Amino acid sequence: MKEEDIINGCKKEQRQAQEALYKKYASRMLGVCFRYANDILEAEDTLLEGFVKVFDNISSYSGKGAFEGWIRRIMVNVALNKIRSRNKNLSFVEDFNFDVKDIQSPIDKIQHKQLLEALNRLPEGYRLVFNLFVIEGYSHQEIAEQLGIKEATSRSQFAKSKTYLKKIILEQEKVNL
Amino acid sequence: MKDKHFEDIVRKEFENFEIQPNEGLFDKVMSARQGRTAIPVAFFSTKSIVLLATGLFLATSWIVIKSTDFNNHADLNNSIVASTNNLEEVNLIEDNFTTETSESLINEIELDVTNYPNNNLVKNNSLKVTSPVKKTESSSNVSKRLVKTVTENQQLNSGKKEAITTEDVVFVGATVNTYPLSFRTVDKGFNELYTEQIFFTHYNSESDNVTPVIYKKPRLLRNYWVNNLELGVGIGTWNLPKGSYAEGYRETMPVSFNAHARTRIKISQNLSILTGLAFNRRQSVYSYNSSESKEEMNIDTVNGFIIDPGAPPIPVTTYDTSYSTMVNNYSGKGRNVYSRFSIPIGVEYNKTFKQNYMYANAGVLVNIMSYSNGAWLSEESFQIQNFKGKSNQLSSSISTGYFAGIGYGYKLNSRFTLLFEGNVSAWNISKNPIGESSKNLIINTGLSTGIKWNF
Repeated sequence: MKEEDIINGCKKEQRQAQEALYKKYASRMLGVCFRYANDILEAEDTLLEGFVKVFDNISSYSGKGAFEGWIRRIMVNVALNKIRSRNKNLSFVEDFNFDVKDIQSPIDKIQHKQLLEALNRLPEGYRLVFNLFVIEGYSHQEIAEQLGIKEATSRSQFAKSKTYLKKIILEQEKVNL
Repeated sequence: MKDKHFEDIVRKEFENFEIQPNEGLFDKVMSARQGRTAIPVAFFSTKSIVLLATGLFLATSWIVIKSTDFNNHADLNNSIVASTNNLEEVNLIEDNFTTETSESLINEIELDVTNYPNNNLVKNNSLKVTSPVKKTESSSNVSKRLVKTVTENQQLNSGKKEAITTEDVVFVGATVNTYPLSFRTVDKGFNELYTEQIFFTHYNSESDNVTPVIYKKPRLLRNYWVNNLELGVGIGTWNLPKGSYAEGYRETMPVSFNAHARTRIKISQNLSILTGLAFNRRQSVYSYNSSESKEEMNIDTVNGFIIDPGAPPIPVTTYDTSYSTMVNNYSGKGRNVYSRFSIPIGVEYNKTFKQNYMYANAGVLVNIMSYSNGAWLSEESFQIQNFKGKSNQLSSSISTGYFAGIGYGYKLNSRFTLLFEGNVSAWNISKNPIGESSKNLIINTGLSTGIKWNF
């Protein structure tokens, strides 16, 4: 089934097409949701809510732009809404007690399990900014708008999150050695 | 390590990152949707859907905004009339809507749909209604129906629950996808506006192209300059005048009743000038129990005779003077009443919290008329004297005082707000009821409640 047929079928509320769309994107989108969730249950909940929105709103998909990108944005928005409702005053940690100079070791290869563990150890504000900037490709301006923070805060949070993430990864490697 | 390199590594690792969801999640998605869309729209014919939509629309008790033409800002004067069953057709083409078709706007509106706080409201009342419109291959200018549902943004409107729906848009051609949204804003604190955004696809049967179109148009919902009136009542107490009470004179703690009519003239989003008319009536019960002593002279008369041997007795009267103190007791009981009308002139600051708001105000009170009736102990004679009228120790034709208050506004609906306020007012009187000649600061502390009407 071609993607275009799937989309048209979904617009007509055809269950077969909806199932096909789900099968095609569910696992990848769960990967997206998981990066914003505290655990797999929360990620699945986000995925469920996201797909409900996808099916509800698919008639608005104009056909321009990548369909996967459209779904992905919905998933990210649902995830962000969940975080907002869970934590109304999203805190952005300004200072962490670690020395930036310590982190000079090269990181050439990481596995996503290792990365996920490291990401999960980041404070929520760091994690969000890092995810949105590096993986989703949002600009700092977009992040600032989405999270209701200043653009400068997004930049500084990102710089700190990256440093902190590297430190966690290097620590993990030391333990593994 | 270069930062960019690290970012690339992370990005690459997550590029095709997948987690297999639990089996049965798809069914849960479907049942979640089924719960809200019990009757599949596709099973209905266009006519039956139109009937259903009309029925749904009439059944809803939402406020319908009667659209009015606002071509420039000068015309924005509460021209939108709210009623429950009042629709006016709007021809988008002729109504000077601005049209934007950029991809970014489409994305924006898609995002807004997913983030919209009243999304369910929009969906439940627009998608069902709009979905029956079918693509037609007929010539252009075939008028079709599209539903526009405008709901308030709760954050901007502090939770007013009114929703605005109308069904009036004309489009040319074909498949309709609507995401009607409204974003309400307050323009410099004076005009509350909402912007209609109507999104649909425009089908051109000749070229067989579908063009997404967003129509935007700002409309005035409410003017904020002077659009409110508050009526309130309250109770309180006054402090008793300082100074020594004469022995035997007692006054209970005064109880006051107040009423006010106030309006607020908005000068910015959070700041208003407050004025109106206030009435305060203070009442206390006094009693006195006094005595007056008087020394009285008593003269005793004694009649006798002077006896001289050899001579007849001579009658004689003698007087014996003595003094005694007489005490006069008197007592009384009555009511001291003081009323005043005043004009408060002050500023008020409000801060919105979710649906409701807190406010604080302060300013001067111009007492324009006062009246008193009661009794006090005269300073000259230390006798109880009555007072009554507009000009005496308590009453004067005009005087000034101060007021301050802090309160909470609980929004009942878009028009009415219930107010709870703690307030204090103070003013000087030249003499107090017990005859002290020095000035005394009278302080009234009270609690008020009122209802504010935004018209």
